[in-house]
Amino acid sequence: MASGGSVSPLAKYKLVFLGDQSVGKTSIITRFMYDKFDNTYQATIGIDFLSKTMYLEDRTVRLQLWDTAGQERFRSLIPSYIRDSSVAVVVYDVSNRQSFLNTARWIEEVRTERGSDVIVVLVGNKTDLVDKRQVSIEEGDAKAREFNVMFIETSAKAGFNIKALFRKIAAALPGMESLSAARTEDLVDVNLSAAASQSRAGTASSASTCAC
Amino acid sequence: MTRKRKGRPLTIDDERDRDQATIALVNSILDKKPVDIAQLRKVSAVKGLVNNELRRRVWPVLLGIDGTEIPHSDYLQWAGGTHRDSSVIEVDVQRSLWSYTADWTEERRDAKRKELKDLLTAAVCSYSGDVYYYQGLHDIASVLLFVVGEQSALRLLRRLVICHLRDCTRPSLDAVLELLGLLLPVLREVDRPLHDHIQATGVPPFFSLSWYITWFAHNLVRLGDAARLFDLFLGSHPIMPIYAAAAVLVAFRERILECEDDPAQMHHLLSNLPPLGALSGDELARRAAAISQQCPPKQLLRNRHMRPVMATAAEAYQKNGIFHVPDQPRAPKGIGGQAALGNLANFVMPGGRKVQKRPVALLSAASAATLLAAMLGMYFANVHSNMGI
Repeated sequence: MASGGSVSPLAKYKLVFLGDQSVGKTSIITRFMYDKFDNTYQATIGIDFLSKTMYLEDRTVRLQLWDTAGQERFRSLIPSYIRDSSVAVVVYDVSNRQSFLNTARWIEEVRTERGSDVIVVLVGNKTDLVDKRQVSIEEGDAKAREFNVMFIETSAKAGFNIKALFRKIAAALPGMESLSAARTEDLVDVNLSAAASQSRAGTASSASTCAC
Repeated sequence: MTRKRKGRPLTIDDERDRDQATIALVNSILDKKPVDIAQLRKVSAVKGLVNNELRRRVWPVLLGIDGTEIPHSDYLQWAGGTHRDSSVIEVDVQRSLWSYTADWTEERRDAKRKELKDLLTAAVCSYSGDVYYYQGLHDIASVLLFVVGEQSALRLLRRLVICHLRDCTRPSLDAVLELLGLLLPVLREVDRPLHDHIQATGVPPFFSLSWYITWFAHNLVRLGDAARLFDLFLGSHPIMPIYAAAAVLVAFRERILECEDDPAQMHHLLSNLPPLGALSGDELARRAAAISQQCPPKQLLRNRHMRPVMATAAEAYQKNGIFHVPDQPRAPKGIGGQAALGNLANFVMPGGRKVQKRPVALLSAASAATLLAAMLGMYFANVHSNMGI
C-alpha cells in the first residue's frame, strides 16, 4: 500500500426496518436518504436495500438500511437480516393501535435472534395525523421502557424528527460510546430543527421528543 | 413508440401493419373450433395481443376459462367477506394505481380502488381460506382490472391464484423462495460468466421476488408494458417469470459485471433494475420464451438434480393445451426424504453448499419449511461473513 495508511476503512453498520404494513418504514428511509416524501408511494415487496454515508463529528460511518415488507407472510425472509444487523428500527403508526400492539412481536423476534446484542429503536410514525392519533406518546414511551429500547416519535411526511432518529442511532452505535449525549448535538450531518434538537440521543429507554 | 430492430427501426406504418396482421391471425385462430390453444399461446407470447379488446377475448381462453359469468350475487357476497388479510388489502389498495391513473381525479381513482379491493377480496374469499392474499397480488389484479374489467378480471384472478400463482398464495412464502432458487441455474444455462459473477457475491435470489410474485407489474410504470408481459405469462408455463428474470439480468449484464463484489450492493442493483430499461416488452417476452425453450423446466430440474419440495409451479403440466399446477407437492419418493433433502440443498443454493441430512421421519411439510429457513440462515451466514461487517 502507498501513503494512504492514515485512511481507515469506512465503518459499516447495518440497520433493519421492521413493523406492520403501511406504518411508514419506506417513507422514513426515503426522508432520511433524499429528504423528500412521496405521496404516491406503494407497498414494499420483499426486501429493499439502501446505504448512506453519515458524516459525524469525529468519524464517518456507512449506514446500510434494509427495508422490509410488512405483511406477516414475508417474515420468513427477515430473520437472516435481523441476525446480521447492529440496529433494528421497529416502526408503528401512531394512528393505528394494532400496529403499536404488534411491535411487541417484532421486538421479541429481534431479541430471539440477537439477544441484547443489538440496538433497538421503537419509532411512532405519522405524528402529523393529529386528529387520528390512537397511541399517545406516553404509551409509546412506556412500551419502550418496558422493553428497554430507545424511543422516538416521527413524521416522515412532515420531516419531523427523522434526522433526530438517525442521530440517535448513530450515537448509540458500537464504538460511539465516547461521544457524550451533548456532543451528539453537534453531528455535522444535520441542520438541527427546533423540534429535532429536543431529542436526546443516548442510553437505552430514554424517552425523547415531544410531538409538538 | 419506436422499437429498435436489427437493420432499421420499425416505423409507425410497419407497426400498424404488423399489429393488423397479428389481430387477423388471432381472429382466425379463435374462429376455428376447437381453438388451437397451442398456437394461440405461441402468438400471445411471441407477438403479443396488440390491444385490450383482443386481450379481453384471448386471456380467458389461455387459462381455459369458459364464458360462464360468475353470478353477481356470488360476487357481492365474496366481495363483502372478510379474511385474515383484509386489513392488508385495505392498505395496499389505498396506495395503489398511481401510475395507471396519473391524470385522474381523486374521486375516479378512489372508485377504481374500490373495484380493486372488491376484486381481491372476492378472489380470496371465494376459496374459503385456502387461498392467502399476499402483498403484490394487488399489482397483478390491477393489470387485470384495467385490461379486462371487473367481472372478467375476477374470473382470471380466481384461476390464477390456484394455478400460475398457487405457490404465492400458500400460507407462507417458503414455496416461492424455493422457486426463486431456479433463477441462477437458468442464468447459468444462458450466460455462464454473468451467473458466476452474481453467484460469487453470494447474493440470495430475493432481489427477484417482486418480479416473480407480481409478474413485473410492481416494477413497471406503463399498463401497456405490463399487459404485454401478461400476454406471455398467461399462456406460458407458470415459471416463465423466472426465465423473464434471467432475460432482464442478461440485458443488464455489463452493469452487473461492473458491480463490486458485495451482496448488499448487488441486491440493491438487481432489485432496482428497470425490467424494460434495456428492452421493449416485446423483446423481453421473446427472449424469455427463447430461454425457456433452451432449458425447459423439466430439463432444468433434471440437469441440475433439483427437486422442489414445497413449490409445485415447476411441475406444472398441460391438459388440453391448458397449464395446470398441482395443488400440493408430491410426497418424496424412494427411501423416505433423503434424496429430496439432498436435492433441496442444490435447489435453494445452486452453489452446492452442503446441508446436513436429517432422519427420514423428519421430512414433513413443516420440517421442510424449517429446514429451508435454517438453510437460508446458513446461506446468509456465509453471505454476511463475506460482507466484513
